[in-house]
Amino acid sequence: MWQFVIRRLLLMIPIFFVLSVIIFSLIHIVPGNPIDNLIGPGMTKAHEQKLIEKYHLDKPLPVQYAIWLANLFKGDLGTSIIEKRPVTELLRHHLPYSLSLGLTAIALSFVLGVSMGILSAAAKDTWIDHMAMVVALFGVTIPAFWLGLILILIFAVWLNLLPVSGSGTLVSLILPAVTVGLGGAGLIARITRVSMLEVASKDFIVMLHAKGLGKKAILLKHILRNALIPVITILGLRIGWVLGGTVTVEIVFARPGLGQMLITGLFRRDYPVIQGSMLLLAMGIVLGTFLADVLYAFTDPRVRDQHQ
Amino acid sequence: MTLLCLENISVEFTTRDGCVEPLNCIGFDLDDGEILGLVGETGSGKSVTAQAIMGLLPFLDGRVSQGRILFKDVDLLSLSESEYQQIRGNRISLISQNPMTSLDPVYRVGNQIVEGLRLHLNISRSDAAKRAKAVMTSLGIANSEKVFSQYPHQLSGGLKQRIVIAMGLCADPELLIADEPTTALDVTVQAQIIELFKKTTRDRHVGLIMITHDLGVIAHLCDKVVVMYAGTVVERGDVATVFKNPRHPYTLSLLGCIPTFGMAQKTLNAIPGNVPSVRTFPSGCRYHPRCFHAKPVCVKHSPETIRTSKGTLVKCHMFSPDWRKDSEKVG
Amino acid sequence: METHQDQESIIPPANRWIRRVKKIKSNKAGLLGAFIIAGLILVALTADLISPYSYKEQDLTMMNSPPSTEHFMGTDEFGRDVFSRILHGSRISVYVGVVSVGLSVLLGSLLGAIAGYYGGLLDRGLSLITDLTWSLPEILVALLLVAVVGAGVECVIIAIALTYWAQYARLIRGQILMLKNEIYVEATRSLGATDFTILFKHLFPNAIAPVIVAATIGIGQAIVLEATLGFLGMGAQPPTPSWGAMMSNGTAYLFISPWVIIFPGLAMMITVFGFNLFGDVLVDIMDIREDTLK
Ligand SMILES: Nc1ncnc2c1ncn2[C@@H]1O[C@H](COP(=O)(O)OP(=O)(O)OP(=O)(O)O)[C@@H](O)[C@H]1O
Ligand SMILES: [Mg+2]
Repeated sequence: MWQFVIRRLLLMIPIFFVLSVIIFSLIHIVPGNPIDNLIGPGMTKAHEQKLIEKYHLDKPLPVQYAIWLANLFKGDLGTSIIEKRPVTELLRHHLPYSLSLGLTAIALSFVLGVSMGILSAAAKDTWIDHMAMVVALFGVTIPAFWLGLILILIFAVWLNLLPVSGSGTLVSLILPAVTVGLGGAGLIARITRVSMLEVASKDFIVMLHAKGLGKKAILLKHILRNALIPVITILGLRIGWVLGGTVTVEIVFARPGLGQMLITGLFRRDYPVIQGSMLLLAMGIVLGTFLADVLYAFTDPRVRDQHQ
Repeated sequence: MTLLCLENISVEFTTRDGCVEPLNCIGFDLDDGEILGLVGETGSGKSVTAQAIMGLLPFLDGRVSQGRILFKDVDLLSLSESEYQQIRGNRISLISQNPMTSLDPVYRVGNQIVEGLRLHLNISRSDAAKRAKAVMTSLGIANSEKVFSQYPHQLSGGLKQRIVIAMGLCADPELLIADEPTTALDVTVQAQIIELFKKTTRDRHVGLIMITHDLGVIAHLCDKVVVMYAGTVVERGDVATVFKNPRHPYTLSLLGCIPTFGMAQKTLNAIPGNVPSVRTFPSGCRYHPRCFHAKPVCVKHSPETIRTSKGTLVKCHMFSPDWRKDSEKVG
Repeated sequence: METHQDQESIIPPANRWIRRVKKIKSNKAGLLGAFIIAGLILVALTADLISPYSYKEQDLTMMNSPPSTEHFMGTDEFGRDVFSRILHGSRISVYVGVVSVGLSVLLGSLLGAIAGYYGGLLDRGLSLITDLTWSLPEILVALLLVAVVGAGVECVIIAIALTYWAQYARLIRGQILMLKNEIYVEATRSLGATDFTILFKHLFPNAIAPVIVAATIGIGQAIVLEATLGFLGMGAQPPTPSWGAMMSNGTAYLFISPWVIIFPGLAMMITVFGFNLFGDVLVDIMDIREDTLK
């Protein structure tokens, strides 16, 4: 088992390289020189030259990449062109906001989604099922930013219950987490339902009835346990999709997370910032996928054995 | 005392393309401690009969459309679901036909046996585990300790089958239904397990319904036999009597050669003609397209069940008083 | 399921489609989805004719006015009629949705088919890229691309197309892999068919069904992605009305004139809902196993 975990961990290395190349190269393929953004009025040629050297823009791309990567391993992601602060420092400042939001949202989508899926599957083809599935479909289809705005409108403005935005307190986490979480919950509810219905049609379920087990025990102990396996797999595949919502939601709620750092960076064409935040976000997702994979292997004894 | 009595049971399944009726008006009975063999070609409705007795049809989109199932004089069909749960796996237990798919893939097999045990008996987890391991050992599982904590996919077909048997036996039921319980086992183990069934049921006075294709097993093990054909019971009675004096043409051709117990030939005799499927059961007597004696009346009317002079029951026009009058033969 | 497939392939294609249309008709959710999509396209085509106001006509006496009989979805911060702007905004949505998904289907199915058919290194490289893009959030990939190509409708289309193609490549690759081994491919080959005819005349038409379904749902998702990018200020540039940009401008006035945000969002939600309903029904109609779509 541990072998599998280690092998899966090692697989993250090539993924990391591919990602870093993509992120690095896309930005440097851009026509025009990033330096153009730096050159303000009244800047001398000499000044410009110094900047070019500072950012190694005169070297060929592979060399630039090598330098970037080497610095990366030293924990140096460059300095923000606009803010003149090290990118790592910025990341350290913004990360906790995204991390707390992402984790809460995932937990919320899992709990909410699985409960909705169970309800729906247990009451198959009744109005409860139809309602739950319509809600789930809305959850999947509503764009996160709009849902965020509407929630602000309802809870912060009309009902005056929760803060509009901000980032410090736990309360300020509720609305953004719900916003991101609902989308994930919709997805998970749909998968849970399909998966539970599929397990419910298996032969061994009839045999559980033959043992004299009650409906509830069969549903919660056997069907759910089996049905969660594909749910975890898909959650692993789509974890990024759930977390993608955080980027826009951070903008809506003025939450100073990585998403906001990224968007601000994009607007200012602040390349070190874009690269740094993209890389961290992408690695977060790759890590999430890895964890889901491992969890999957632990929940399904058949998969566990394959890796032994 | 009568343990189980099926009266005129018909079963319907609702499928995507309409209703099917795999059982039509079948009946038989069984006393305490008796062993009844249920035999018939594939698709004749043996497993459905077992499902009907266990009250499993509602979970399979099916229902008993007519008749009564009396278990110790209680009509099982009138029970509520929670009352039925008290009986299933406790007073009546089922050994399923498909050991490969009958176990939950994500739980250890031992826990699955224990789960059933603790549901009905008020015993601790460790006592239940002890009991489960004992039964496993008696079924010829050498390292029951290890198998106990394995997952279904780690076991061979034969081991899985024995686990499923253990689940059925553990519960200490009053009636045990074993649906082809030995198909995945090799011959020696098969014989051993058949002996175990015999011993267990005789010792504890348990009623047993043995569903099998193996006439040798029936001859060796059973007191009564019920011969099914295309969702009907064509002949039933004492094993000895029926095997010595088979009356129904179907039973006759089945017994064309009785393989003795343990012989290589274990399946039913191949009878010319096709096995009818649920959707295309023939009119009248369902056996008529394959019957050498068939007459027009067999095509038109379903035969009554008639008691023969030897005391067996047979569902065939040949034994009705009108038979000789109607002398024209079909094709 | 297998026998089903067999029957399916015996029926001539024309009859197959007639049967499918009949199936849609008998499915209420699918019909609703079809209506929503048809309505959207109609609105996009006739926005000029049916809008009560011009989308850019400012009326500074009527700034941020709530829904009324004159402006039944209210007006925005420049006094422009929200309803008319939503009608016009549908154009960008439909345009971006259809063109970007069309491009990505084209690209994805071409690459996926070739990868599935020939296998080998090409296949492995492609699988790696598809798996990577699949696991990264669309919005991140799109943002990255927008960062490269710049803001604007065409850039958004390119970004979405480059984000989505992987999903279709994956689908068609799987289908081709499955179909490739069927006997009739061998038979056609022994009749002297070239790789090209086998792939595009025989395999492709049979493999495309799940892609059509995914693309239908994909158009809805692309519309959301476009609006999201628009909301972040990277979509269609003013004065072209787009739902995302409308909502983006509206955030500043969220407390004063929430209708500027509510209505375009509703329009978008109904649209996406329509595409999803229709897509779900297509799964049913085309006899596609649900798990092929995951
Ligand atoms: N859940 C179900 N839904 C619809 N039809 C069913 C269902 N279960 C069984 N049948 C049909 O009922 C008929 C009898 O099936 P059954 O499983 O009882 O046969 P059997 O006698 O046990 O055969 P075998 O010897 O192969 O086990 C079959 O034709 C089968 O197709
Ligand atoms: Mg059977």
